[in-house]
Order: sequence, then C-alpha cells, then structure tokens
Amino acid sequence: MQEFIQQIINGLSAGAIYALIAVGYTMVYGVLRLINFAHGDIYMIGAMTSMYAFSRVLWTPADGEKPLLIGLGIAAAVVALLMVLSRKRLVRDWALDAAATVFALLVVADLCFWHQRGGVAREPSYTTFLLVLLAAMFVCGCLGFAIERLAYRPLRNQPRITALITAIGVSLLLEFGGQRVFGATPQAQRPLLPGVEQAPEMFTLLGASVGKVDVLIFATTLVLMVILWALVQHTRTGMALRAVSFRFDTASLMGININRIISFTFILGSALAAAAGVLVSVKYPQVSPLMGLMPGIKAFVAAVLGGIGNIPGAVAGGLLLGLVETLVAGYLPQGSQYRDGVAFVILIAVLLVKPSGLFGQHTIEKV
Amino acid sequence: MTSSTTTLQEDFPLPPQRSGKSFWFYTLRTNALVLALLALLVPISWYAENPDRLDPYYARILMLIGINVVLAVSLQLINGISGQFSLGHAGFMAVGAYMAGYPATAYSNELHDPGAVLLFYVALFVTLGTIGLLLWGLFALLRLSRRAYGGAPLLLLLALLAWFVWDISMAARVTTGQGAPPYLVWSRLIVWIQSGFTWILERGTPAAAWVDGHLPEAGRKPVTFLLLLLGGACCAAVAGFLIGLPTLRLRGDYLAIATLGFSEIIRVVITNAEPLGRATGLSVPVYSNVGSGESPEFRIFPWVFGAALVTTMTIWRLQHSAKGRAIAAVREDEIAAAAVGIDTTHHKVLAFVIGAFFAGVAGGLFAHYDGYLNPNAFGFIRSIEVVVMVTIGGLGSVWGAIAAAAVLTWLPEFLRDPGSWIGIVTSAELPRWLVDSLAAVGENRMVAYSLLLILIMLARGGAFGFRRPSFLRWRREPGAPAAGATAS
Repeated sequence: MQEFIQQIINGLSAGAIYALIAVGYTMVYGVLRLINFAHGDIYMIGAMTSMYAFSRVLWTPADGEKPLLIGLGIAAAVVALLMVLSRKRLVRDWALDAAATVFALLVVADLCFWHQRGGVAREPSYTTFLLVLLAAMFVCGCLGFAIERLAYRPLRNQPRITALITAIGVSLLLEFGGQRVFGATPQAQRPLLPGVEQAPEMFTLLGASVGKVDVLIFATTLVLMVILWALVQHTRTGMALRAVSFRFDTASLMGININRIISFTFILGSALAAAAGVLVSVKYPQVSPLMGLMPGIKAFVAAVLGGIGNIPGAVAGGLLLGLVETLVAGYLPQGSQYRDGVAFVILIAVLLVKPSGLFGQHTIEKV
Repeated sequence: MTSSTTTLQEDFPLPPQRSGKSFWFYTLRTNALVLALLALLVPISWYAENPDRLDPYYARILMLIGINVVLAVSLQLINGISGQFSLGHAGFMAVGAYMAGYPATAYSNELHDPGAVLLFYVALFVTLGTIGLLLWGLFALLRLSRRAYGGAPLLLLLALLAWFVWDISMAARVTTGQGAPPYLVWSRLIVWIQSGFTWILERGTPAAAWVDGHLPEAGRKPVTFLLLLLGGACCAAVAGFLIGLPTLRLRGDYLAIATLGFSEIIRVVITNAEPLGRATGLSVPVYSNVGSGESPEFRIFPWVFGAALVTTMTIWRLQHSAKGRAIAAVREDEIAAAAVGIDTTHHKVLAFVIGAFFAGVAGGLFAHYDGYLNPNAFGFIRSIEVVVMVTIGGLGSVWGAIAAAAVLTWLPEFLRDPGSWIGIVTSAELPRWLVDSLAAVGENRMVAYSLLLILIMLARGGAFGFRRPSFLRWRREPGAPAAGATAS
C-alpha cells in the first residue's frame, strides 16, 4: 500500500509536467490545427534557461556574465510590471491582479536583497526559484512568439503538411542549435530549492514520502493552471481565443485580431512549457539539448488522450499518462523497459476506441 | 483554417491521360527505359566499387542515396499518392532490417545457405499464419456476438482481455511443466505455437541442407541475399497490414501520430527482444564491403540500385494504372470515391502494404550493407528524414522524391566539408576567407540543414513536384485566411 501511494505520487508529479507541456500543444492545435513539433524543444530551452540562469549566471557569474545577470533581472522586472500594467486589456480578474502584484513585489524585493548580498544569489531560495521560473517563461515566451511570427505565420494559407514539416524543421533547428550552443553532453543543474539535499522529504502521506520537489511541482502546476483557467475563461482575450479555436474565419469577421490571438496562444503555451522545463530541471537535475524529444511526443499523446483542443482534457490526459507510465514501470514484469512504449499503446487504444479523446467532442463529418 | 482542402485541379494538373491500363502493361518506351537504366548499372557499379576510381567515402554516400531512394519512393506511395500521412516509415524499415538480419546471423553461415534461410521464413510465416487464423476466428466470434446482441461487445472484449492477461501471467507453469492446470488455454497455445515453429525448423533442416549442397557455389550468396531481402520485406508488409488495417480509419494528423506511435512501439519491442540483441544492437554479416575488390557477382552496389529501380518502376506503374487512379481518387475525396464504387479500405491498405514492403527492402539492404543494426537508428528522426524527402520532392511526384532523396542525403555530407566538394568540381585554389567560412558552415552543418529545410518550406511552400509556384496560383484556398491580412 505504501509503495502504491509512492508510485501514485511519483506518477502524478511526472504527469504534472506532461500536463504543462500538453496544454501548449492542445492550445496551438485548437487554434491552428498544427502539431507544433517544436514544442518539446521549447521545453528543453526552458530547462536550459533555468540551468544557465541559476547554475551558471546566478551561482558562479563570470565577469562577462554580469550584464546577462542584470539583464535577466531587468527582464523579470519588466515582465512583472507589464503584467500589472496590462491588466486592463489582458486580465480582468482580481486573482490575476493579486498574483501579478505579488510577483512584481517578490521580484523587486529579491532584487533589493541581491543588492545587499553584493549582486549574487549565493543560496537557493524560493524567491530565486520564482525568478528563474519567470526568466525561463519570459525567454520561452519570446521564443514561441518569434517562431510563430517567422516560421508559421507566412505559411498559414499553405497546406497543413507544409506547416507540419516547417514545425519539424524548427524542432531540428532548436535541437541541433542547442547542441552547438550548449554542447551535446548533459549538464548538471544545482539544487534550486533550499535544503533539498539535506532533507528532500517534506512530509509523509500514509507512509509514503512526499518530497519538497514534488510539492513544488504540484503547487506550481496548480497555480499556473488556475491562472490559465482564469485567462481563458474570464478575460476578453481568452474569450477571443476560444472564439478563434471554435471557428477561425468567423472569429475574424467578429473583429477579433487573429494574428494577435495566435501570437498570444504561442506565448502562453511556450511559457507553460518553459515552466515544465524548469520544474523538470529541479526534479532531475540534468539538462541536455535532446531532452525535449520524447517528453514532447508523449505530451502530445497526453493531449490526444484528453481530447485535443480541450485544455482541461490535456491536463487530465497528462496526469493520467504520468500515472499509467509509472504504474506500468513499477508493477508489470520488466515494465521499466517498456515504459516508453506505454504512451504509444495508450495513444493507439484511444485513437481506435474514441478518437476524440476522453473529453473531446465528437465531430460529425459533413459532406 | 479548418478546411484546408486542396482541389485536384489546382494542385495536381494531371499528366496526359494514361489511365485505365493494367499494372503490367508496359509500353515499348518504358521497357526500353528500364533496360537502358539496367545497362547503366554495370558501368556505374564498376566505377563505384573500385577504390582506385572512387573513394569509399563517396561510394558510401552513393549507397545511402540508393537506400534512401527506395525509402522515399515507397513513402511517396503512402503519403503522396494515397494521401495517408504516415510518420512511421522507419518502423517498417526496422522490421525489414531485423527480419533480414536476424536469420542471416542465426541460421546462415556467412550468407551461404539459402535453404536454411528459406526454411526460417517458411516456419515464420506458417506460425504467423496460424496466429492470424486464430485471431481471425476470434474476431469473427466477436462480430457474431455483436450481431447477436446488437450492442458493442465491450464487456466481452474486456473479459477476454482479462482472461488472456491472467492466463499469460501463468505461462511459466506450462513452460516449466510443473503442474499446469488444464484451463491455461492461451499459455498452452503459445507454447504449442513455439514448439511448432521449432518442429518445422528441425524437420526441415535436412531438406534445407540438401538444397544447400546441390546449389552451385557461386549462386549461393546472391540467392541467400535475395531470400533475405524478400523475407524481410514480406515481414514488413505483414506489419504494414496489421498496422494499416486498424489505423487507416483515422485521418490526417491522427493517422500521422498513430503511425508514429506504432513505429515507436516496434522500436521499443526490438530494444527489449533478446534474440535481436537488445539495445546493444545486432551484428549482421555484410553482403560485401564496398571497394573490397570482390568479384562482380558479390557486389552490393547493383543490388541497391537495382532495388531502387524496381521500387521506382513498380510504384510509378502503380500510380498510372487503374489501381493507382483508384488510390488517387480515395486521396482526393474518400466519400466521392466510395460513392462511385471504389473500395476505399482495400485501396488504402494496399498502398500501405506495398509501401511497407519496399521500406522493408530498404531495411534489408541497409542491414547487409552496414553490418550493424541498432534500434536507435530507426527512431522518430529517421522517419522524419524520409517524410522531409517526400515533402520537399513534392507530394505525389515519384521523380521529385528521388531527386529530394539524393539531394538531402548528399547535403549534410556536402556541408560537412564544402571546400573539398567544390574542389572536386573546380579543382581551383579557393580564397582563404571562403575556405574558413565554409569550414564554419561545416561545423554547424546540422543547424544549416534545418535552416535550409525551413527556408525551402517558406520559399516554395514545400513543393517541387506538381504544385504550381505561388506566383502562378491566382486563387487562394477557400477558407484559409491570408497571412497578415487582418493586422488592423
């Protein structure tokens, strides 16, 4: 029983990461009908950013990297400020206002403390984690915006296969470019949380230990999902997003700026993938340029499992996928060897039995 | 965006009517062309196999081009001609490679016993046929029960599955023979099938040895190789049938992801299969080393280009035969095709199986050329490479696929050391800055490759085949918004 609960916890924390990636897939697919193969690599860039921002720049800044450090701080502050300032247009929810304000305050406070400590965060802290998270989300948001603007938008009136191949090209570019820039070998991430090395356990649940990292993953995922839900359901932009994913051309007739909404979708999805990357670099402290390949495909499986285009479905699919994978690896004979195959068996079963996914709506084909 | 319909007229200006002919109908001109190409193989392979004339490095690139041509043309049949988007071609290639490589390592001595290899395939296909019959019976039973009870027999299916899993989990009792209860039907069945396989192998061995003994020495190696290629390809075709039958109900992206999933499952199974060498890989006897100076009948070069030729001719003829027209009709509009009496499932599965067959041929060639098989060589990236070749070559164009396969195989090698390639052609002294910048490109060659891929897509919309360039297309596709048109 204790082992079973432990497996469940491990599975959920793996699933939360799939869920964060799957949401980006499902949103982009919902709007553009495009499988954004580069999404897994954006997740990789998120993990890389966190590794560089923390282990390299914050921890041991070389002289040349000081401007980068200051730049990161300024970028984070600007994002926080923008979130507060743009609330009238983008965000109309008191919870989001509060979250943005807290973010901004935290960033400013942490910048002040840095100043006291001589400009360098020598110790891991939750504030540093937030900062790194924010920086990674910012970087990947910009990257997602740039990819959509440069690679996908010019192809929007081409056949879908063209956009798909371009997405594959972007994915290869990020992987090979990552190998050139970051080096092909995996690199170690320092522990981002205080006291994880000494006492990794936070509390025990029915005899199973729940790690600090797991709690962090659940908490971050939950907060991000709540923010996303509020954005999509309770803001004008979110309403526009839903309209665009419902019917592309009609939405544009209603005066919705399609290009802006699509950019927004990419920024949102990429930022969530970046958060997944940061979290995974906290849990498994190793990052490499090819780390995004498999999780990317599996997250797509999760999106299909939940019903593609459906955001709560993607979350549920991600959690379910993580759970099933962990349980198969834990309980079936030689299960850990077949771990990578599980996702695809699930995928094919779903596609054959219920292609619209668990929560997707069945679409009737019109002749 | 929801409907990205491409109409026949806009995208595929049809060549002059050649439809309605049978697959086997060859015009005089076609026969002459095939003969001329075959004749051309002799000097090419003589040139390529001789290390004095062609560096083994370039010979290797030529070989890989040949193998990739087989792959790309066979995928063109699935993706371009029949319009089903498959992302799992590397999986079929893996099946072909391993099923051509495994019997060569386990049952033959340096590719010198065709009888033993044939025996293996006979045993394998008899076993597969038995399993197939059993499954067919099971499905017939399910269909009957569905007819009898009206509803979907989901409960029955689940009960069967549970029984099966429970039964298999007790299989160790049957194999060890210690007190197996009589109700372990499935486990016993599996053990019977296994022992049937070995029974055929044992009983057939003398006959196989007799055949091997009476074959002339010179013919043994080529015949073995041919058998291996055909056997591996047939296994791939069976895999294509098994995968195609259920998944071809899906469309577009879903089909792509399902085929990708199947190819990953194939890879995972190979990675965990004990006889196939697991993740460490399988060493396979090579047919001949390129440039080893062996006698002409033992060279692999003509095999590869012969296979490329056969694949191209088969698929080209198929495309322009009555069957090919039916397949293209299914691509253009499935419902309309069904309405005029075309069996859509039959034609889709047919294209899928033939494509998988030739992917298996490519796998077998690769296995006995390279001599080493690793499951990671048949991953997602490999499938993507072939899809890229097909797409850049232009969907539906066999000749475009060949050109793209050649160019895209050569391009990374060119980017590795552009200076030497230019030097081959011009044999001139290049300026220093050019050499340096070319070397820089070579270091970043995979980055340059992916950038080129994106740029080709952006510039041409990914088509050198039948698609007209954008400045000649005056009508936008219906339903698709213009890029940047709503930027107010």
